[in-house]
Amino acid sequence: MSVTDVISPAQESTPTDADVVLTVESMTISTSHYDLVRDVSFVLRRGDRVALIGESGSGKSLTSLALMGLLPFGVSVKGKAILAPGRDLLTSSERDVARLRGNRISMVFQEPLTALNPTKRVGAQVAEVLTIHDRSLSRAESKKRAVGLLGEVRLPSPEATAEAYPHQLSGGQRQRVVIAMAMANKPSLLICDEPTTALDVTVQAQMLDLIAAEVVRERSALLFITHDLAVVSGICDRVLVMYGGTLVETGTIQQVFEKPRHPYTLGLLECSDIGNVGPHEALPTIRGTVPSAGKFPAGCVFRNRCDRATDSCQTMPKLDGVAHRVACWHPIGDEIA
Amino acid sequence: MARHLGKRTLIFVATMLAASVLVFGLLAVVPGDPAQVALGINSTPEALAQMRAELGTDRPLVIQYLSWVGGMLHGDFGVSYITRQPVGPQIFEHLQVTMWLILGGMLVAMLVAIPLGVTAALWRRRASGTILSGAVVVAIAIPSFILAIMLIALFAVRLQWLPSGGWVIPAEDPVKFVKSIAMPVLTIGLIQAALLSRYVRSATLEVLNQDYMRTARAKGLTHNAAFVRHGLRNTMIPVLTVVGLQVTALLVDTIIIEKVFFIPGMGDLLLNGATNRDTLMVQGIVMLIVTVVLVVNLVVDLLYNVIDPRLRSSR
Amino acid sequence: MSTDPAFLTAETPIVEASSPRRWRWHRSPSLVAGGSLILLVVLMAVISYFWTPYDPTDVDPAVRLQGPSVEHWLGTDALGRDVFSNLLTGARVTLLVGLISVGVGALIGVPLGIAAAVSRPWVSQTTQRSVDLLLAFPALLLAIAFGAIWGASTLTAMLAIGIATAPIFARLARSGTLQVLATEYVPAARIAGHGTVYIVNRHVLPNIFGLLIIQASVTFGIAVLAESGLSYLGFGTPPPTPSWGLMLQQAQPLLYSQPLLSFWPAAAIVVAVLGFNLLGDGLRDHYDPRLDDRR
Repeated sequence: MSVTDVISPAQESTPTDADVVLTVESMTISTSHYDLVRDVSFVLRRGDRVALIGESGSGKSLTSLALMGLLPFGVSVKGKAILAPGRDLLTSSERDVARLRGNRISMVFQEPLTALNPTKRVGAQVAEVLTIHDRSLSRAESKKRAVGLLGEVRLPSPEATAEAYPHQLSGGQRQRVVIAMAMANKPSLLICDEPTTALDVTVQAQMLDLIAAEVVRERSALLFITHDLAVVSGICDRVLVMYGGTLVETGTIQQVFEKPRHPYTLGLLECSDIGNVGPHEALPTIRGTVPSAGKFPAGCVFRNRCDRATDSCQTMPKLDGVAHRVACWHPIGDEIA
Repeated sequence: MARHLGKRTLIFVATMLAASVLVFGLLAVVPGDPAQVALGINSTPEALAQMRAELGTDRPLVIQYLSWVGGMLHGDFGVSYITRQPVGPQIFEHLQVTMWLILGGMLVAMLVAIPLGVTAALWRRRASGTILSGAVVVAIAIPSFILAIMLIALFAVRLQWLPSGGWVIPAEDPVKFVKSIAMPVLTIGLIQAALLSRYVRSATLEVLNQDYMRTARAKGLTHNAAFVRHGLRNTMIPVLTVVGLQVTALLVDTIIIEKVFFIPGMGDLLLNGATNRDTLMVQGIVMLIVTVVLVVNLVVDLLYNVIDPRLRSSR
Repeated sequence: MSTDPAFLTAETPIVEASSPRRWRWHRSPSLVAGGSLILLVVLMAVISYFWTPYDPTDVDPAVRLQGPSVEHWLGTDALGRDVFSNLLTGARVTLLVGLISVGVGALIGVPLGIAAAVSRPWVSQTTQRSVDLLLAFPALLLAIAFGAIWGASTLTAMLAIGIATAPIFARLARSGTLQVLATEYVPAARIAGHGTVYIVNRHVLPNIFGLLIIQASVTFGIAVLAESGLSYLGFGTPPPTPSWGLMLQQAQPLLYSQPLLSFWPAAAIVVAVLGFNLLGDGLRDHYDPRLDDRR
């Protein structure tokens, strides 16, 4: 059985392997003491809009940092992450990966307020991402294109904005600048790590629209990391659920959100669905707390918090299934033996 | 911006005034009568009174203070009670000598400290980084005159490349001049560099941990390229402030080094003046040094506001 | 100063007095190394009170400028005095000046700093400006000025260094106090009816103690540096009292013939300063391991 996922509804035509952008195989991220992310595999194609959801500490940010080659000191990664056509991100040198960053694979981070260099003008910072990857570009040309990019992300008066310093822009505006920088070289993969968490709710929706528009226009793949399920259904069509450093369930939004199979996913959905809680009813929770890194139970990472756990859960379940995949010995819908 | 400038200048002037009062007051409490010292023990009261009138020490202290300050604003530092020579010209003559050491020392300090500090920060996880930092820690503990003597022992005694002291007027013999100030400037510079490099290292580390460095790498820059293009400018901002603060230590070291190398600069003048209880001389030099320190602090403060764009527009 | 770079002022957080820390000797090489060096210097001073091979001031032209030997372990100087004895006894002045200077600096600076933090804006501003004024007068300069007025002595050196280091203590005490005042203990205490003095004694002092100890160690090192410099210039302890700086001053002209004479006092000074600097670093590690800058 190969590591293929379901057709993304955003694409009408049959996906071909030429559309594959990223193939991640058995990626494991660890420090010298313990594993932080274990055996993660997935495939992304052009036009895919995939959410990677999980709580803090589930390893989702680390996954994206590993793909970008930006892991912090003391953290190493094993496995494969092949960026089409054929470059393994995890084993390439810093120089080679740097050539891809901002070019074929880009990332937008969570904190727009501190993401930009306070002593350089915004336009120059956008222009830089162009000149890094195209030395032949003249200053005037890169400047012109930078202004164009700022316009594309719907910043008012792009010429004036280009001359501004970051502290003169709001958080939402700075995030747009970052998105402009990320999309400047038309990457085949855009990773967004909680890009709207630090923004006002009113600005969030606009930001999501912008990201979706950018990604659709360039037919980039989108890997959207978040813990906010509401955001997920707005912008993504597939979802990867991560807990304790492993993927516990994957599938389309309909499959996973309407018929969750992993007990954790069910718990997550119930916790998010507080609109349906009646008066005087207790809010739904998942019992127990997320263990700290290195203290997850052996075998199934969720078993110490799961009502369906049995002895067979002492062995680690693998992701099983075709389109809608789950890593569980007793998925929801199956009888517990 | 203008308001801040105005406020700062006002504070500067007030501080200068207070400093001048302090300096004058301090040296006005010197026991003993300068007129007596000048004329000797067996002088007649009339001669003493006349001398006091000449020296101006019979006027009330406030008048003496005002006349001193007023004079200084015209470059007239008064006439020494001991040597009966005008203090001002002597100071400025010796100042020219000292300037070479100060400017040379600052240059050496910056040229050494900045690469040293940045490298120590970039190497912080390697053994070589630890060794470097360790060496700097030891270097900071070495007083300037000891470093000077060590350099003399090496370059003058052992290798005989450089003279162990003395001053040559640059116009007279440029080569000999350079040789004579090589070790003093090196000493002053290295001492400053040791401490300065620590600040540079700290500032660099601070910058390296900023989010915008990660953004820079996400754009496709390698570690080092990201630092050079984005980190360096941000590092320089706090470092600049520290350089300004260091000027005090620089001046002090210069005084000591001039003694080690027998250089006839301000330090020499100050020490001689102090030994001879020439209070007016000491007053003038101390005031000059304090002025320089305050002016440098003011300039750094204002420069800081100009260099950091975040501070520019908000004022 | 309003323009202090962030990394200079933001770092040292206050220590919570309620959580005593165990001393992790093995984790802090600075602490151990610094402590050992200082112990060595203290030992030298203490021993000198009980025994020295010779009277350090004993002049004996017959044995002048001898190298190390069985009779004179480190040799003799230009006047025939035993170097080893002078080295031992010189430690006394070093430690004495350091101690008194730091004491004076702290005793002047800390109350001023705390006062600046708890008083009304204009009082606070005036105090701060006055303290800043003192910063324009380096220790050496003050000592030389004092020497010009009253004649140089150990006392003038100690006073000068102490006064010159007071502003540093004042600033530290002020920022530490401000941090404590921002915690929740203080409004709670005020609601309970306690006055400022009580709050200062009960909350501020215990919490800024760690900061002050670190600064004291660093200042001790600065004081030793300053004292040795002053002695070298002839503005510190006057002869014949042995002091390392003076020894160095007298040994310098003999660099060509007797380089070793310069070595001993120089080494002693560096050891002492290094010891206090390392101790300060080690104390910093102890009080806040988060400040590890090897990230």
